[in-house]
Amino acid sequence: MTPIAQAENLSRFYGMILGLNNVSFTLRPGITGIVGPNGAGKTTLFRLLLGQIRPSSGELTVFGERPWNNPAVQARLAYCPESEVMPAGLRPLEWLTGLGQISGLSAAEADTRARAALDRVKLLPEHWKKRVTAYSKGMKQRVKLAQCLLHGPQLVILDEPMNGLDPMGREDIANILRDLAHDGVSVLISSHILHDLEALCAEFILLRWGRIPRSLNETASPDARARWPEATTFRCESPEKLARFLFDRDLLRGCDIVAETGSLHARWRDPEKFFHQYHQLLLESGVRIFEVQDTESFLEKAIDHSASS
Amino acid sequence: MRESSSGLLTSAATTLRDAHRLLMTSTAAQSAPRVAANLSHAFAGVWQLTLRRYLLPSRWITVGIGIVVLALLSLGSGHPFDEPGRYTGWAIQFYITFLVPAIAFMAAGGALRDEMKSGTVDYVLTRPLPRPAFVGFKFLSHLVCAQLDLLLAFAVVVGVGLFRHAPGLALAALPMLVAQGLLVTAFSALGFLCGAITTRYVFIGLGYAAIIEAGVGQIPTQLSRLSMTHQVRDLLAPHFERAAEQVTLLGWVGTGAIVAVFTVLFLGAAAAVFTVRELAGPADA
Repeated sequence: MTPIAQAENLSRFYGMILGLNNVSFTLRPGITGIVGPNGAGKTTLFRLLLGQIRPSSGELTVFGERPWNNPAVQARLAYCPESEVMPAGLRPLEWLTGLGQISGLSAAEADTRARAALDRVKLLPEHWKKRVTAYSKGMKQRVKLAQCLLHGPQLVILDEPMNGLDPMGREDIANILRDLAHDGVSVLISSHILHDLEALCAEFILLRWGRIPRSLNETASPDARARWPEATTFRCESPEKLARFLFDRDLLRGCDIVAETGSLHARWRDPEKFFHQYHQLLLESGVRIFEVQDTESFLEKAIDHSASS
Repeated sequence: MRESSSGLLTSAATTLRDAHRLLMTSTAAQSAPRVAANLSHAFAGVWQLTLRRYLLPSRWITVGIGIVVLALLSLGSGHPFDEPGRYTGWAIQFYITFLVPAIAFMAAGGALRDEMKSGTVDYVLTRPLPRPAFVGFKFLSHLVCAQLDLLLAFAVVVGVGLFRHAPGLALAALPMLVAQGLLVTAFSALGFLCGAITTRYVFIGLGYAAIIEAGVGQIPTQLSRLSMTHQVRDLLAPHFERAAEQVTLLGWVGTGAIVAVFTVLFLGAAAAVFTVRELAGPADA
């Protein structure tokens, strides 16, 4: 599968300030999540991919070409920035039509596509008459995403597109991104909402202090994600009874009981042993179970692991 | 429950996908970009976005305040205004050769800097438009708007003069208008260059004004031709200096050509600087 983008020992410094430090990665088609704390280098990486800044050293190619100041690459990219600054006084249709024309579309085609894009991000037509600066955070996110769809890009880069959206809005955006991926558009998305990213992305790039630590990315690799969870949370009628039952069968390495929520956080001695007899064991315990979930998402786990090491 | 809601979401997504196939069809199959830079469409887009900003009510409030201040200045200047050349001299020496270049410079520098601000830059300059072309299109769009603004200001200055029956102003109005057009064009290009170089473009402008316009431009040699305001003042001198010689059409054409050369040089330099500059700082890291 031809990679969308490839970086080899890529570094970017702003004088003495570190942006990215010697990172190598391959961006494959599909939805890729980029995760890291603030200042990890996510925006720097985006700007490098967009061709707005040059690498200090190393090699970066996007669609096989160097992206710096390269309209041929930009024709295949779209970017949704994190910033909520939008041009004052413009209505969404005016703004999107203008941007579509700058992308090379005729006025009529830009108008048609702008309407379709606004529909696609579910911005209701009654809001189209308002100025974008008067929009709520969630509506701004939708317009920002709509401007990405105008020129049929092959890679859409989204910086925190879920910020300010309610759960329904996040689901809407996630569905649009899944549709894009289904249509063959690759997506690179950063978000601090890790559960959303896990549900959406096939691959991840985990950044920390401008680097991509190998251990961090191994923890979030598809192999690691296929393994059984190390810890599980049960919300049940009697956490104590369930804990006793599991201890008696030598399944637990340890556990915490939260009486207020009726939860048992179980840490497994051998997760595989439990999950192979999952249904049978829970039935045998005789405890009414209301909810079972992974105690920690694998992204949280990866980030925690990196922080502790 | 979860399965049924996920089924609903999937079916909604499928419907949406079908309805908007227009947007993304064939994207996957194509390895070439779906759009290519089209300069005439891009110019229309840049013009449209610039014009929308120009028409903003909040901007017109600022322009309105400026016009009122200019009208008050015009009413209070050029005393005794019945003396030939007095008011016209003020209009040429203060308004045409000082105020117009200063306003044109700052407006142009600001217009380009606005395009480089975080938030704007991400939407416009991530699109497949060569940066030199963007600078050229932005300049043309901005220039039309700036000329219109200053045309309004010119109407106020001349209107107040005519209202006060300033001698010789009616005859000077057309040459002044042409001179204003030349200066707005040249100083807008200079503003673009300085705006492309730094956020503190006003300081470069002040340096330029001190060295070229107020310094070299006052030296009575050919070097003074480097000063654009000096050249324009020479053209308009017969309208407020009794001793000045009449300027021929060739003189106007020559000055127009020199100003055009300055404009092209400044704009070319602005495009070059804008093309090589990176559009993010450490704050974005």
